[in-house]
Amino acid sequence: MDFKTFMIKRVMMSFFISVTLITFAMAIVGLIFEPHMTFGYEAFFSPLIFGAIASFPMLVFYSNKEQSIKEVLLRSLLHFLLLEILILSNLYIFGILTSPSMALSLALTIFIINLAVHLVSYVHDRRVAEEFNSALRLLQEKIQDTEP
Amino acid sequence: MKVQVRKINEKDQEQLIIECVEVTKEVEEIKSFALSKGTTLTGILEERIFTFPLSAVYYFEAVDERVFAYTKNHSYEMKVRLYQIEELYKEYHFIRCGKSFVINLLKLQSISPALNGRFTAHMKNGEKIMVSRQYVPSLKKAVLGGAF
Repeated sequence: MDFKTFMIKRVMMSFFISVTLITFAMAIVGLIFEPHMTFGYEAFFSPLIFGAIASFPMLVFYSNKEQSIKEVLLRSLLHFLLLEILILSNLYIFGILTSPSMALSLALTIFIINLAVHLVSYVHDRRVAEEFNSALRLLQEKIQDTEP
Repeated sequence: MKVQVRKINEKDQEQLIIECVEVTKEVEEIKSFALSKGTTLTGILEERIFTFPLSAVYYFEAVDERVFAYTKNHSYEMKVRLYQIEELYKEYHFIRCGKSFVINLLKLQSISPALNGRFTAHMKNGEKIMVSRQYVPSLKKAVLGGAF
């Protein structure tokens, strides 16, 4: 996969999924920690900004060569660590992180979102595999029927 | 090397004659390529040349500069390149699923999701082959899109 395709397919897909899940997570975390806080229109930019920050570490997955399972696992771990560092440090710089318990719950939220992204991807791939396997069986039966 | 094509009337009289001063690696490759144009293949096993049907091949694998054909019980070294195999046997339901693999769709049991958007191809002989992300669309097209 070339870099352009990788950026469009994987990074953009990750961005849109992340924006949706960050919006949802912000609503839940906000309701728990700051239920009476009000926001201006600029608050709508937050999920987009953090979505972009969350998608940036996806670049660690880019490679021209085929990766082994071990390599993929290592890159996944690196991706997760980069996610945690980038998001938490940005929240700290913007003054959003106010307590250690909030930092811990956000770190946990990032973990859950990361897991959810992988789960969504896995569920999608499983559906593709099921569809493929059904079509494969039909193809094999069709060829067996036509062969003398 | 001069190349001549002479038309004849009888199909069973078709033949390819290579006239050369010395049987070089290139000449061997041309010979193997010509022999591979049918559905009976020739391969090397323990320094002996064997013929076997294409339909018995589960997959082809490129290891370093060498290409191997895997049947149920043996692996034969081929004297053709993987890209040539991909082109030659496309119509016989062989498809590339990685930089080093060309698999027989008729010997494919199923696929299942693997890490990072890749799939595992489960062959009917129990072997597992990693399907690279970049070859997933062509594999899907071959089975779901009726490429044959």
